[in-house]
Amino acid sequence: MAMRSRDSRPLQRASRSHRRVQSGAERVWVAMGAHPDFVESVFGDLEEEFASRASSGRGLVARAWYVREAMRSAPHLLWSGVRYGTRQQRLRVAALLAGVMTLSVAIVLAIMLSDGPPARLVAGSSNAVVVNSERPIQLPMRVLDAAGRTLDSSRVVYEWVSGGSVSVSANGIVTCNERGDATVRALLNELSENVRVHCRPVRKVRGPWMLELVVGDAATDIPFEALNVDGERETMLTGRLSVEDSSVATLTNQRLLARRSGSTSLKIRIGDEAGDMAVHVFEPALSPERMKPGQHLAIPVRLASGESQRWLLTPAHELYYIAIRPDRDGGTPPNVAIVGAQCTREFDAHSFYCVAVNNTSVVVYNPTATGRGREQSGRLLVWRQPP
Amino acid sequence: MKPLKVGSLELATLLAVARLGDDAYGLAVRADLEDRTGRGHSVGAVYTTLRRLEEKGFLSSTPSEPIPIRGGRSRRHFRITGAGATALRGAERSSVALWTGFGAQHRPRLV
Repeated sequence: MAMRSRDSRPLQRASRSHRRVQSGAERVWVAMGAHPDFVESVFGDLEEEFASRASSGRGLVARAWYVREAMRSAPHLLWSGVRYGTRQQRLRVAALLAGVMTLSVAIVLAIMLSDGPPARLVAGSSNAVVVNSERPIQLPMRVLDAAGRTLDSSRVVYEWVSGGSVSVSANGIVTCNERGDATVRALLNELSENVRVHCRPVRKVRGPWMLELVVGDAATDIPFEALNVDGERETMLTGRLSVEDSSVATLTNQRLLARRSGSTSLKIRIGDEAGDMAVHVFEPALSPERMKPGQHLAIPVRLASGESQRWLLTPAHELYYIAIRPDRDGGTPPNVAIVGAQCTREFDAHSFYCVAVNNTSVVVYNPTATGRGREQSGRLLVWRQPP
Repeated sequence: MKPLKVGSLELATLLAVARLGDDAYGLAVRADLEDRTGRGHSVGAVYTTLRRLEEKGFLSSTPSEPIPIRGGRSRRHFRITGAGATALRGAERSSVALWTGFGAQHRPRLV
C-alpha cells in the first residue's frame, strides 16, 4: 500500500485498523494525529539504527543517539499530526504545544525569579548604622543574594564585638544608652559582617515654626537642629523628612524647593522625636493690592535713603500675614509699617498678623536721612489667609 | 524550460532513492544523504521529504514484511516513478544548462 495523497486516507485508515502499534510513544503520536505509516517508519528506523549501534557494544551511546534523534524527529511527527490528524487530534497537538510553551516559560521565569543563597549582608550605608533613638530598635540589616535580591533576614544572628554605649541582642535589637560607638557582628551561615553602630540618641528636634519660600529661588537648607541627651547639638543623624503637599514644595537632597504658591507642612522624624514646620510659598508680584484670600505674594522692594512705598490692602475678615525679608542678595531690608489696622507682631520685629479695615495700608520705608544712607532692598511677603 | 518541481533536499533524496534501487528505505536514504552531503538529517526530516515526494507522485512505496530488528515493524521501500524520473531528468537538464559555458577562466581567483 502506498502513502499517496490525502484523498486516499480513508482507505489507508481502514486497512490500518488491524496494525499493531508497537510502543507507548508511537501510540501517543498516532493519538495526536500523526500518520501511522509515518510513525511506524520513523520508529522502525530509530529501532533498527539503535540495534545496530548497540550491537557494537556502546549501549549508552546508542541510547543517547536514540533519544536525540527522537527529539529531532518530534517536529516532523507534530507536523504530520497537523496535516493528517482529525480536528480533535489537531486540538491535542495545539494543547500539547501550548503546554510545552507554558511549561518552558514557567521554567524560565522560575529560574529568573528564584532567589539564590545569601551572598551579602548589608547594614545602612557602608555597614555603618546611626541610631538616634533611645528606645530599642532592630538593626536595619539586609540579606542579599548574588543577584542583589533581598532575602529573609530573620535568621541573621548578632553579637557584640567591641565598643560601649550599646547593648545588642542575638536577634539584632540594639539599645543605645548614651552617645558612643560600638562594633556588632552579623552572622548568617558562612557569612559574617561587622557593623559599626554609632549611638547618637536625640531627645529633641527643633526648628522655626514657619518657613517662607519664594517661587524661583534656589532650594534652601532646612533650618532645624537635633539635641542629644546632654542638650548639645547632634550632627550625626538619620531620619526622615517629608513634605505633605509636594506640589507646593519638594525635597531635593535634603533641601526644600518652592514649586508653587501655597501652604504645606514639613515633617521631620529623627529617632523617637518628630517635628512639624509650616511651609508658605510666595509667588513674585508687583503689588499686594486687590489680592484674593489664600494668595501668597512676594513684592520686591528697592528704596533709596529716605524713600518709601505704600500699598492699600483690601479690607477683609481674614488675617493678613505681612513680613519684610532680605532679598536674595541678603542685604538690609527696609522697614515696614502697617497703617490703619490692628496687628500683632509675630515671630520677629519684621512680621505681623493684621486685620485690614478701610484704608489699611502697608508702608515700607528706608529710614536713613536723604542722601546719607545706603539703598535698601528686600521682599515684602503678604499672605491673605483663606476664609 | 519547465521550472524545477523539486527543492534541493527533494532532489538529493530522489537521487538517493534512484541510486539505492531496491534498498531505498528511510535509513539507507538518510545514510546516503549524509555520505554525499556531509549533513545528517533527522529520521523525521527524511521521511517528511520522502512522503512529500510520494504525494507529488515522484515516488511510490511498499511496506516490507515485519522485521525483528525493527521491533517487528516493516520497512517502507521507495521507488522512483515515471514522473520522478522525468523530474530528475528535468533537474539534470537545468543543472547542465546552468553549468554550460562555465570554464576554468570563470572560476574565482585569489588576487
